[in-house]
Amino acid sequence: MRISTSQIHNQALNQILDTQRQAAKTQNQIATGRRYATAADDPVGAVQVERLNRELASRAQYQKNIDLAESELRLEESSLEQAGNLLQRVRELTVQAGNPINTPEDRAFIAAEVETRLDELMQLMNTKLASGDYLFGGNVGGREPFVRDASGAIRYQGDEGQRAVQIDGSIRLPVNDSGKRLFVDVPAARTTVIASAHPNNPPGGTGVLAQPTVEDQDALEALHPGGLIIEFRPLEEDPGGLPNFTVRRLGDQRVVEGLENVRFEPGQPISVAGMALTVEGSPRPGDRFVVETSDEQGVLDTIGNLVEGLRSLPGTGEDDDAYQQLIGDSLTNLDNAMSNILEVRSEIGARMNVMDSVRSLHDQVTLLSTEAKSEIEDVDFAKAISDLNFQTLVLEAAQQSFVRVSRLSLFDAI
Amino acid sequence: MADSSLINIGLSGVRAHQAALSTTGQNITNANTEGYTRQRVNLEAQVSAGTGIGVQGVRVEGIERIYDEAAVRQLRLDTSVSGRLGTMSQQIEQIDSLLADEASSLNRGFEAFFAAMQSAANSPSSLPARELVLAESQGLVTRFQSLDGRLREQQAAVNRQIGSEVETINQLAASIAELNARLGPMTGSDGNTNALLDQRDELLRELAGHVDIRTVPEGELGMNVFVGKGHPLVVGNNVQRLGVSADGDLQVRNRDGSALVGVGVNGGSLAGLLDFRDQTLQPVIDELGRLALAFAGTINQTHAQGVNLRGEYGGNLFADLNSAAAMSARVSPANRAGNDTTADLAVRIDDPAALVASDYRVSFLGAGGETFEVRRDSDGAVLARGAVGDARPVLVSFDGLALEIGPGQIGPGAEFRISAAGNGVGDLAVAIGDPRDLALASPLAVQAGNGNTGTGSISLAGATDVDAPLYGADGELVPPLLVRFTSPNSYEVLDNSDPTSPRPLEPPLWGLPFVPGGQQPLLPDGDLQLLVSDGLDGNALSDSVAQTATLDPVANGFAAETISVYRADPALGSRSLQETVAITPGMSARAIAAALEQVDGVSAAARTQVEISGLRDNGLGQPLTVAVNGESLSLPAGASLGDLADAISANAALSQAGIRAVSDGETLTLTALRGDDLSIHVAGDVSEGLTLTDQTGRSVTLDGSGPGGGYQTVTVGGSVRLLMNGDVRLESDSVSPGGGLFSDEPQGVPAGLGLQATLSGRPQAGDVFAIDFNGAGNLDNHNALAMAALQIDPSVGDPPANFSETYTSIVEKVGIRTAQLRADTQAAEALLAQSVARRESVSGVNLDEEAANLIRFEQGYNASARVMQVAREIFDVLLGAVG
Repeated sequence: MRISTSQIHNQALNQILDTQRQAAKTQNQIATGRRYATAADDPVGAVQVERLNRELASRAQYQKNIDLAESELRLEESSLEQAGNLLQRVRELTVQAGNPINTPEDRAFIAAEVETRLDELMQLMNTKLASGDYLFGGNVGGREPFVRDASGAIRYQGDEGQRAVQIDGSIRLPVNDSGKRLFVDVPAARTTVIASAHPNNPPGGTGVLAQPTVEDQDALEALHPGGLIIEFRPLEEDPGGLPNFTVRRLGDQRVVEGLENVRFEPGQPISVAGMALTVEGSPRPGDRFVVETSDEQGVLDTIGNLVEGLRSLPGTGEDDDAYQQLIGDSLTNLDNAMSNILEVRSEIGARMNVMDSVRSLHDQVTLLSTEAKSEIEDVDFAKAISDLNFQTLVLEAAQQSFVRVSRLSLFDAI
Repeated sequence: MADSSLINIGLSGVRAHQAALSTTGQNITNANTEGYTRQRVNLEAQVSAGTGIGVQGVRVEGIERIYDEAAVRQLRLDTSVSGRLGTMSQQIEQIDSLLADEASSLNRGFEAFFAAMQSAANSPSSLPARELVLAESQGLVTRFQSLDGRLREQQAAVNRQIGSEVETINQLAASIAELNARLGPMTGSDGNTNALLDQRDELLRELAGHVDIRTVPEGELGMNVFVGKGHPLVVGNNVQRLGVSADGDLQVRNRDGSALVGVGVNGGSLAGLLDFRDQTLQPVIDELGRLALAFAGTINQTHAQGVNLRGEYGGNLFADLNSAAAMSARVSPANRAGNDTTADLAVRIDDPAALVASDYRVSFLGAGGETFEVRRDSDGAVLARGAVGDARPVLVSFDGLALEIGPGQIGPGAEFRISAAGNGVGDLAVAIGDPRDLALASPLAVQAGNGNTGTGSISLAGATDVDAPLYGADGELVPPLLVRFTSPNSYEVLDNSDPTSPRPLEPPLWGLPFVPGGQQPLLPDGDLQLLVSDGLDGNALSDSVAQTATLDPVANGFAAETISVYRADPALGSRSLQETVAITPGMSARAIAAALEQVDGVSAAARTQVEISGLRDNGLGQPLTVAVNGESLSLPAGASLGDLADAISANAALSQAGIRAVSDGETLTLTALRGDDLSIHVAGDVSEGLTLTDQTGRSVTLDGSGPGGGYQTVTVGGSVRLLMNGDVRLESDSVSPGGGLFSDEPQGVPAGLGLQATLSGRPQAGDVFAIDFNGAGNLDNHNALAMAALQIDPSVGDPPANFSETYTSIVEKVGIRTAQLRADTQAAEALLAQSVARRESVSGVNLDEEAANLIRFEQGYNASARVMQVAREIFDVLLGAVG
């Protein structure tokens, strides 16, 4: 085929430029260490790398979450261990108190130590997290979970919430246990009662229902499961226009016999269903107070009852039975509390195990993903350098031959 | 004669070779001129007109352009193809490297946002952790905006470039027309025409690089040029100028200059720019916008379902996608009639995940724009058609959007452009400034009752519909709920406004089944319908009082009735009969429920309840006896309702049958939990008896006043509670005045309460769980986890893909397109090189060839001159002989 002079030049030039471009690309790969610069160089690889990047980022986040979960669970674990130790000590003291040779002075000493332990335990139950939130308040971190109310009873102010941390795409690991589950919902030796003001009471009332004292356990058992409502009635329902109340059963609202429109004497116990209910302050008409029976007793209540019993029951004569009953019940309740805590501690252990296995899974996947990513993305230097050598060789050859060929001209011969 | 002819022969040779030499010179000097076509002098032996030896020398027949029409056309074609691909490739490389840039990658933004969200979930009360979520939200918005901004800059640059391409094309066309004008009067081929033809060919080649053209010769030397699908660009000396419309479309005036018509072009850099802008750049902008809307929309939906640190509902984390301004900004008039339209058009985003990355066009047809049609730009599909009546606003839903046509005049033929996804990034902004406003907590908290004896537990999944009445007030649930187990395998949901006396919800929700030890959603799904029979005519209390001495139950008052169950097909607006359930007279609610339970898509439960009041027992004469369902109850003399309740509760057979009595002393509520009929039999003195009141408030008094000797019995039928799939419809053939069990065409109400939870464990009868507003739970992270989980939620993309995958697929699409264009461009360049070579091989100048020609023609010239010399010598010899 005929060929024109400019074509000879153009073709040679194009080839040189092409080779130059390839060499520059290889050089860029070597300089950046990456096989490709944009998605266009390897669309499939780029998508895989992007997927692996996401994988790596999310695994890294999960690892962080696990670290955090671990630190919180360790804090809970160590707090519970201490709580267990305290309860163990209280149990020892209780056993000691049960010894009939104790003098009232001995009991007073024991009571004093138990009370110290009680305060210690309460402080522990109000442990704070590093963030300043309370550890055992469920999801309510902003206020102390365990407080003494005006009547001296201990109330739980948290909720039953459990917070979870995402430690894997599909696993949410609980990192806390509410104080209610740990310290309040403890199976009790005998039916107990829980007193509270009705949540719908209009604000501003000063009436408080004190923690009821149980006078006749059998009568209380007859009420269980159930409860009572003390409802303050309008003043005009009393012949003298004075504060009066009606006591109803919780389940069916039936008026307890003989307790309709009873005149209210502040601080005077109301005797009903084996309990002495004392409303302090001055409740207003419409205020309601609720007593519920329960199979459970908070550990602080158990210890509080114990302290009070150690002090108030002389432990001689007819009180002796009550005293031994108190010691026996306290031991049962303390054992239940300890096993409750142990149960949660073993749950924490199980969570830690899950965490460890998930963590090592993350480590493995991270390693594999990093390798896979490098496989796709990183330059094979040996190959790239040998490519570059070859390309520069070709380039030089092309340049030299072009100079040679272009130098040939018939005009030189004329 | 002979000698003079020899001189003339020599002279013709000298002249001819001189011409050949100058042509060769011309070729040599133009060896590097673009578009030059080498020329050749065609020589021809000259023949004399007369007789004799006849040889008269040589003559220049013409100067020929060595030209291959097919090669030139091929070259133009390949230039167009290569121009288009080269331009596209050059443009797309810019997006490709923009998207490849790690620093601007949206995926890093998504990762940072969700990582911050997880950190906040880990410490929901921490203000710095919350602050970080806001900062990363803003960071993500900035990433979206800077990507979008860069793409829009490129779009503006491409539009400018299109303008200058069109200008260049118009100039080239003008030059071609001018050359046509100069070539018009010329004929034949000589150096001048050849030069002009070369110039025109070169202009045509250049033009072909900008736009694909077709040439049609006119006359001997004229050339008409057409672009695209045959729109004339140059006809003779005239030029039809191309232009760009306001929408950026290419257009040209008709041949008669009257109207502007769109032009489709397929080749050249102009086509490359248009293709790139419309097929690559705009879709990428739309996809990004769609992603922005889907992201903001889904995050907002979840965020709104939570409560913030102040205990308020979350609202929007990102700016409201459906603010009035954003909604009306999505619609713009596309023609003059659109401009003249006074009706307000606005587009609301209903389902951000269902959006499609495309614009839409809505056209109003008919004289007054009575009907409309919505068309999707990306594939031209017609999505909706309808009439615009006077009842405005008209709502048209398509692709996750809702078009609202407000009241006002609509111009005939009005057209509007709807751009939802395209504006997406512009609508994106962080709506929250205070980290306390971040709603990380669930609005709900559950509390197990203190007296619970079972091991059941409820774990909240959270709010599902924040528009539900349950969330009508800040800081509380309306009403708070109580879940109460009536047996280990059945529970009810109550209004817990007063925790000491929970009331039924309106409508009541009872008889929900549970398998102890199993796990199930606590509440019916929101798309189910709840229907509770009022037993209006069923509890025929007043007319079935029977005088009977035996304790045998009489029939309840239910009349015969057939309930037809239909399945509705909303798409077709039709329904099909699925099943019929026949109710025989006196059938118990329990049996009716069991029959309805068999129907697909329906779950049924039954319960019978009656209120007893006004118990009169004089304690004298014949003792008052009361029997329930054949069980005679032992009452003390002068019994009260409380005694009656205690007697019923103490009866083992009745307890076994699920019959419960609760009395507060004033009234007694008698409930058959499984919906069995309740037969109450009273015997005693005339003054003794009791009053029954059914759920509708109608009552009957039973006493010992009957003629048969002081016996009276009544049987009460129960209510049926149905939960039906959304598409189930009921119809009854009852002829009773107030309808049958249900009304004639009973309508269910949505069964969902707006929340969901998981129920598990083994609860016991009487166990309760209170669900209330989560006011103080500052460590609650349910909603944060829910938002963080959206990172891997595949429901936001179509086909299913999460946010990052959606973005990656955009990058991938551009990458694949770029790689493809690179390959195509290379192929086109190779083809172009071939056709250049082909043309060059015919028309290009080879200097060695010209050097050889130079020698050849010089020799010819010399030889011809020698002929003249010989002729002169011959003449001299002849003169000498004569002289």
